[in-house]
Amino acid sequence: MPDKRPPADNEQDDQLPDWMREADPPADSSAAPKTDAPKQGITGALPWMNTPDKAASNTNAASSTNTANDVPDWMQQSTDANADISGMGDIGLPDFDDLDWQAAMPANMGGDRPATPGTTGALPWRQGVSDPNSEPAIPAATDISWLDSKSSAAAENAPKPSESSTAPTLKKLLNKLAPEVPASPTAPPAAVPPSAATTARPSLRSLKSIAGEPPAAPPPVQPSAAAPQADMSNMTYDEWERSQLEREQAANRDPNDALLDAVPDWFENTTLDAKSQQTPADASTDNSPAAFTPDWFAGTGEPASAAPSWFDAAEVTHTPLSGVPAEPSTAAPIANDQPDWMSGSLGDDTGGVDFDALFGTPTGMSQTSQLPQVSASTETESDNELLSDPLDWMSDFNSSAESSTPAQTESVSAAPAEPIASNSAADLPDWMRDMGIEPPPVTNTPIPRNLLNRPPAPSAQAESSATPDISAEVPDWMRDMAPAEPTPIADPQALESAQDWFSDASASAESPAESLTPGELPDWLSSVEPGQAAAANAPRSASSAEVKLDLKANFSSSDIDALLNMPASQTLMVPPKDIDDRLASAAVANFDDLDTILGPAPEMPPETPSVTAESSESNALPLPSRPATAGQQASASGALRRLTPQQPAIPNPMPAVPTMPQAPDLARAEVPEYIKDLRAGPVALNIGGVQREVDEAPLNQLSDQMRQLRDRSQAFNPVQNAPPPATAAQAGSQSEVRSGVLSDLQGTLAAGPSVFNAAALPTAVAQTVISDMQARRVRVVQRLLDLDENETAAKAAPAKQQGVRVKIDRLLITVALLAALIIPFLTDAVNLVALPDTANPTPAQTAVFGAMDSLQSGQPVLVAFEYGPTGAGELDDLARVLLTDLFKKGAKPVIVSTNPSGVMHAESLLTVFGHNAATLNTLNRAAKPLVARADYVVLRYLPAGAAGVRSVYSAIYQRGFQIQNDFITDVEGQPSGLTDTNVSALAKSPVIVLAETPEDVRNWAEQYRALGDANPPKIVLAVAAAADATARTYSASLPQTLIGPLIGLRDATVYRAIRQPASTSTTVSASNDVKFADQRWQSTGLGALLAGVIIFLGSMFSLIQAVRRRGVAR
Amino acid sequence: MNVPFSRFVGQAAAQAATTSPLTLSNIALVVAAVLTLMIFSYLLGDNFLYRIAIHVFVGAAAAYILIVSVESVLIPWVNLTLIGGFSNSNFLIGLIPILIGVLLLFKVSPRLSRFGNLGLAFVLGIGGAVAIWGAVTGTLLPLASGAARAFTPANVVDGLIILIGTVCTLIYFTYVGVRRPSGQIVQALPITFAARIGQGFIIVTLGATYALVILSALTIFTGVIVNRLLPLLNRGG
Repeated sequence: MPDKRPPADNEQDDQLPDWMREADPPADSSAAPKTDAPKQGITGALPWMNTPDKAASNTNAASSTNTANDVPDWMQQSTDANADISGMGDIGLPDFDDLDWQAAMPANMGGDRPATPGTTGALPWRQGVSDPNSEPAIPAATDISWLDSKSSAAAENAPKPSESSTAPTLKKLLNKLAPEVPASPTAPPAAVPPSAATTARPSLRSLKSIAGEPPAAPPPVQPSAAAPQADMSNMTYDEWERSQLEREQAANRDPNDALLDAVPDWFENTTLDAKSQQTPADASTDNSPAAFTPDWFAGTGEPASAAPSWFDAAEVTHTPLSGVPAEPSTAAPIANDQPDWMSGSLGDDTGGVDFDALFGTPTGMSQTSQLPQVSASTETESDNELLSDPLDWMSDFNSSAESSTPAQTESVSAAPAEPIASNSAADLPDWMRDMGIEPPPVTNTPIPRNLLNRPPAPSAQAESSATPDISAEVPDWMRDMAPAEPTPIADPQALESAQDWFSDASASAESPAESLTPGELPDWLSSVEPGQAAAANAPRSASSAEVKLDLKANFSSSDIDALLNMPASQTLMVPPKDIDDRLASAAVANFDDLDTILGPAPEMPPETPSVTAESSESNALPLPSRPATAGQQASASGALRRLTPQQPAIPNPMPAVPTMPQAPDLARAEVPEYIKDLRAGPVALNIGGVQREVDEAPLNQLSDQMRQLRDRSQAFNPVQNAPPPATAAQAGSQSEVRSGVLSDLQGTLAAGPSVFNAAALPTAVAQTVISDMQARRVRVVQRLLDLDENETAAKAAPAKQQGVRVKIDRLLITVALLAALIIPFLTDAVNLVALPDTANPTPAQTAVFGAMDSLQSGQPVLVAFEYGPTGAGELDDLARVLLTDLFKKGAKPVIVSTNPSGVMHAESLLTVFGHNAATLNTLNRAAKPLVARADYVVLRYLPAGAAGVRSVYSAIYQRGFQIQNDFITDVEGQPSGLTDTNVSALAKSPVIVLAETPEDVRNWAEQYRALGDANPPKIVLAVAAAADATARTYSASLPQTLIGPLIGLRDATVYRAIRQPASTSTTVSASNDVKFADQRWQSTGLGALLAGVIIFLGSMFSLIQAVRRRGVAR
Repeated sequence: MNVPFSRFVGQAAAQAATTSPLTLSNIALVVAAVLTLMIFSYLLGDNFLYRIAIHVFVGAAAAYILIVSVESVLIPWVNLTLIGGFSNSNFLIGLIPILIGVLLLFKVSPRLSRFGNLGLAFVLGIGGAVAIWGAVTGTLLPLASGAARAFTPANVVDGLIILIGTVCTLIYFTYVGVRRPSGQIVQALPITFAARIGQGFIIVTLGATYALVILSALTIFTGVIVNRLLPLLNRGG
């Protein structure tokens, strides 16, 4: 990076001593080195520094407490009379002429600097000013006038030990403001008393959000060899350590920041803008104000001249700036002395710096004191590397893990032992802390030296007061990785996981990602060197928030490698910041959903990590003791209750409960939508309102990396690590679930069993728990189901009893009618009905008599039997009297019927009738039974109802083919013996229709006639009582065609009495028939009477009921 | 009674071979009486005997109709028309109902039911035509003329009753009305009044019809008693 400083600065640099030239920061940098050596080096040797105005600008904060002896000579000369050097008075600057104060500095702080830097012109250790590693990141004080003048005031504002207490972040912010501040020597620095700097420091964490930029890359641990040992002020190291720990704990306890802290800040920056990817060297040399000024600060537009006054008048005691010491002498140009990671991060990404840690430094304690003391030789090499490749520290992160000797590791880990150990538990990254991973013990955790980007401390100097310097430049999460005091580890497995994390991180350096071309690298990885990428893969993969469902489209091989190297526990505990909710819910065991799944969990190996379950459940639900059985509801607290039993094999202090089969429950479980969407084929996913399709590839089409990733992901599944059940073994491939909600899904992770196994984790909430409210709801549902079953059974039982229940009213009516119908046959006492009048036949009867008298002997007569056995009880009497009269006349009945049973009944009737002796006697044919096809013909059935009647009419009156069809054969299939002459003769005789229903009457009345026929065919109607009305109507309407009608039993009795009286008195059987006929008449009459009475009574009862209902309604 | 079983069977078979129609009639009489009582048992409620009798009747009726249809319809038709082939003068005529019947068989298959519709069209068309013609010529016109002839000087009252009854009954089936703003559909008062009269005539007609049906049923029941139960009682007595 080219030097962006103005030429004036370069000119002044020529006048500056080497160390000062190096310390001369860019115009926008206010961080002044805190070394006293530069002060000495410029003493009297730099006439430009004697400019009064410049000196005044740096010392205008006159302090009466600061004696002249405390001020170096060079400062006294250059200081204006009005210069305020109060800030320096407190710290008691040593006499520059007397270099003993420097000798009092820790030897290690001096590093390889010249012991007597008074020979400013020859400060070889200051060569390479731009080297950020040469000077620790010591923010400058409020006096920033030196930035513009680059004069001796800068030397006068040489860092004091008290200045080092200022937070470097704030100093950097002030440095950014420096170019806008006029370099007036009269401009006093911020008159913040030192006491103000020691006041409570408000958190500046909000600057992260204000800056809106991700934090910079993790800074390498800067060697502090060149950094002078700052005065620790009044605080001891233990006090400083304690305060640090308290602040860290207070800052990290915010649950809302858990996710943000889950991934190290420095790592998040690796994927973002180019500025954040700026190398430390570039960042240190970038003197652009805009580049280092936060947005909120750069946009204020404050005049540069107003800054000092504003800052003087500002009450910063209770502001975030309170932590900034007000010593004007601290405005030394130390920007280049800052660590690269700090300067770079503050350029635009102030949020990447842990302000809490930085500002927590107590006043008077040099920031450099927090830097680890590393040997100068190693530092020199590191500096060169950082200049050339600022991200080498990340490469060292991996490479040094292999190259560093155990001795180095021990030296480094031992040097900052105490402070790191004290903060190890608190400063552990949240994402690791949430996983339940305790920080590894110091003794058991050899931290690679390259993690700290520090060479091993070669001497005891590094083990002394320089110890806290490491934590100043190292990220929080990394700073505390080497605790001196081993923290009790609750879960050794978690410890192993934590250690594996580091091992994986270092091992990832050898991952195939290194061999990838930059084009193949992902964006976040392309900006990082391979070593950095390897180091970053672990937390990056841990924050697998970028894991997409579409692995092909969103995963690069490096990502896959990162995932492959990712510990299972970390994968499960990825903060779902960027993960699709659906995927997050599927990846992370959601125990809330387990409420709906009550199935037990299969057995799990005890060694299975249970970080997820533990972290997710233990924080939310206190676990009651396990019930003895699954049915018992043991909830001592009453809040939660376990339902699923514990597997006996699980090393759980809870009593074991027999395992319940889970497959049915799982099969019955409702398939979630996200599982349905995972079915084979392009699956449309609605993610954030955007629909996208995910192509699922078969397992054999996966690349090796993807397959390894899949295998690795299966390794995360504790269920599959456990001994598979018999069914699973028979299933063969574990990658394909054969049953359950995930059936037919390729490459599934067996989510169902994993859910249950997660419940059985030994160290976590191993059981599905339900709340009392849920339990009550379950009982309510069960109660409802029981009620339904009871109601159903109750309804079914009366239904069975209803079949045998006798209706009293129906039975009473039946009994009454039976009595009325039977009693007339037993006695004549109930003959209440008058017999039909046989003396005076009705016109209809007379018409029938006339039609029958008109028949000739041997003349065929068409008789339609339109009734079957159902109407035989009523119409058989009519049929008998009519057939008797026909046979007596010598006519030949031709029986037809449109009713199939009518034909059969006619044949049966004629058979009985023709063989009845009384009938034959009546016919004067004793011993001559009637013979079919000779005396009568029973034709076959006439299909099609009305059409059949019409076909008969057509056959008789129109002749043709229908004659052969209808009259050629009889019911038995035998030739009827009817000739065309016989058929034609049918037209001359009336048709006798014995109809049971009105329909039969209508068919014959309508079809057996011709429109406009002058001589229509005659039809004698003999119908049942049910067809009385219809027959009468048609007879009244068609008097020329219809004759009759004869109605049922009454007309049969009358017809017999009138037309066949002789037979009734000649024989005994005939007399019996007459008797039975009379009894029948009486029976029918009595029954009809009783029926009428019952109907009337019923009607009255219904009427009364209706009136009552209406009265009530009104 | 030491008659061997084979000999008993032989005698029964010989007797059955010589069974006369009267014997069958007597057997049928007993069976019919038993089945009748089984049917009457429904008066006590739905029971096993009633269901057996119903099943017997339904099965026997279906079998009988099938036999009658085959023996009395199909076989005579085939013998009359198709036997002899084209030498038979009625062959082509005989094919028409056969083809229509075959088309009706296609109704079994939903995919081929369209062909069955053709045969069904013939059946329904012919049946409808026959029914309509018969209704017009045998029912509508004769009844209308008969109502008109009822107005005679000797039957003025009857004529008026018939006229009023006929008109009011027809008005009762008039569903013409006016929709009020409230949405209620109302008929004019004369129509409503006439409809109420027609409703009365309908009630009387249906009541009379129902009474006749009851009378017919009682007659049938008494016939059963006389023709079936009393003979059994007389023979038993």
